[in-house]
Amino acid sequence: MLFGAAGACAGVYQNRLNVVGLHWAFLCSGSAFSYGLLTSVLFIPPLISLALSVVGATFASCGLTLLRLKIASHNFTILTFAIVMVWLSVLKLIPRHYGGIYGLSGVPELIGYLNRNIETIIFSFLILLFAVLTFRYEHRSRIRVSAELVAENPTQAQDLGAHSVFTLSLYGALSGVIFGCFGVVQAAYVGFVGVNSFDIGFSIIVLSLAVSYSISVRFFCIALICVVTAPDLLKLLGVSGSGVSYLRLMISGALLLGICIRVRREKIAFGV
Amino acid sequence: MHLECKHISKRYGSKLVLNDVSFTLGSSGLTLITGPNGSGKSTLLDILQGVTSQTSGEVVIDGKFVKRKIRAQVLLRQLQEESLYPTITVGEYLDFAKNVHSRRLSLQKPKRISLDEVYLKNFKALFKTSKIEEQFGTPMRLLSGGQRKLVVTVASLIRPQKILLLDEPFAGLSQLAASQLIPIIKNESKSRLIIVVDHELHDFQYSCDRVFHLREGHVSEVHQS
Repeated sequence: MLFGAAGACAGVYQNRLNVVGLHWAFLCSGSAFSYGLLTSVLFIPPLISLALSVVGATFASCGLTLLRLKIASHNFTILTFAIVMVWLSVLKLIPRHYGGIYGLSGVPELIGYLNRNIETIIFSFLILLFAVLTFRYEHRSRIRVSAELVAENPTQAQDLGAHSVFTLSLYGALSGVIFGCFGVVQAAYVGFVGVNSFDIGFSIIVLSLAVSYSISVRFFCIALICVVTAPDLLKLLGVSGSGVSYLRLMISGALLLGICIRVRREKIAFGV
Repeated sequence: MHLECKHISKRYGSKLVLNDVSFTLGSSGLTLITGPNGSGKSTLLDILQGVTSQTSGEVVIDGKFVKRKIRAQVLLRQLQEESLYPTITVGEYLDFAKNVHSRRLSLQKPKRISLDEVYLKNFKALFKTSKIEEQFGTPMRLLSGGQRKLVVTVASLIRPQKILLLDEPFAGLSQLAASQLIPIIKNESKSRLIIVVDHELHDFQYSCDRVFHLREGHVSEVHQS
């Protein structure tokens, strides 16, 4: 459910703004670490920590998205890639007490009196519901038109009456909320946040889902099963966690490769 | 709303693209600026629009210098037809162009428009000729180049700005569609200032109130009605 919401969110974001983003790992990792620090080190109640972490991710995402006004779409991809790499390096330099290279363990649950699994299912369902309702509304509103105009030519869009900053901020905020929640829920589920919890591989997985989403919803569902569900099922057959991660990354790469070769270019928001 | 260009010069490195260009245009009327490729027409439009700054001289609207952001409220340069918006339909595009947007409005559903809209009544024949009347629900990217050009020209004409800069509005249009578009532009110019830029002089010049010729950065007036 979490990957479903994240993939759809990234798909809508990339299609509307005509960019390829790789900053998803940065947003998730940022909010997960914030949540870990706020709850484990500063002892702030989990739900307040959740809200603060998501607000932080939202601001970060808005700021990043607004850069789209200043830079070309292909440079945006490079920028987001660089941000993830810098962020992961910064995380390793943080003192051990605040996470650092060993990560933060003992990250508490969100509600506490529920089983971690049930809690994760509830929150994941809520995030998915939020994503579905929001993007259903978005598809039918003028904001979609506004976003595509801004993505194509901000000056022209302004002349047509579009609010560039408002439009980009809105998409930035939506992705910030969804990926921020993703990071926190994942951290609360595992009870640990590490440098490798959300690395560039995570961004690649989300990218493959996002590109699948831009083809069709049906294709997105198939991709979701191939990339997320099928490797998870292999765990039941005794495949190790790291093996599953590598497999997931491999399937994502193969999916991206297949799409690039087979699907007509204009259907994919490659932005270049 | 008077538009005045005072001694505009533009230099790209050692190349002088515009050299002391000056003219004053009234609050309404149709002006044609013509000239061969590379004569500086697009640079002049960029400067008038405010997206490029001139090396010297100034652009004055109603006797005042107007910043780019505020200038966009009174001056519109024709939209570009090359844009391949993934999902925007013809109807949505025209609906968006018609409305003056607030943040609240941009979160609402676009109105499903048809040729019966009051603001489109002047364009009925044009849309029929170009076979756009049945395509209001079609994504813009699926239109032909000429059709897309026509839709963006119409979108520019239904915008409320008092000064309109049209960049080769007849390029890619059939002769019939172009002949239908000329009286519409002429009619619109009764209430606002329309500047058309084209690289060649054709029959359209006889509908214009003033015609300027731009050559190697110099402007000269060749016709005044």
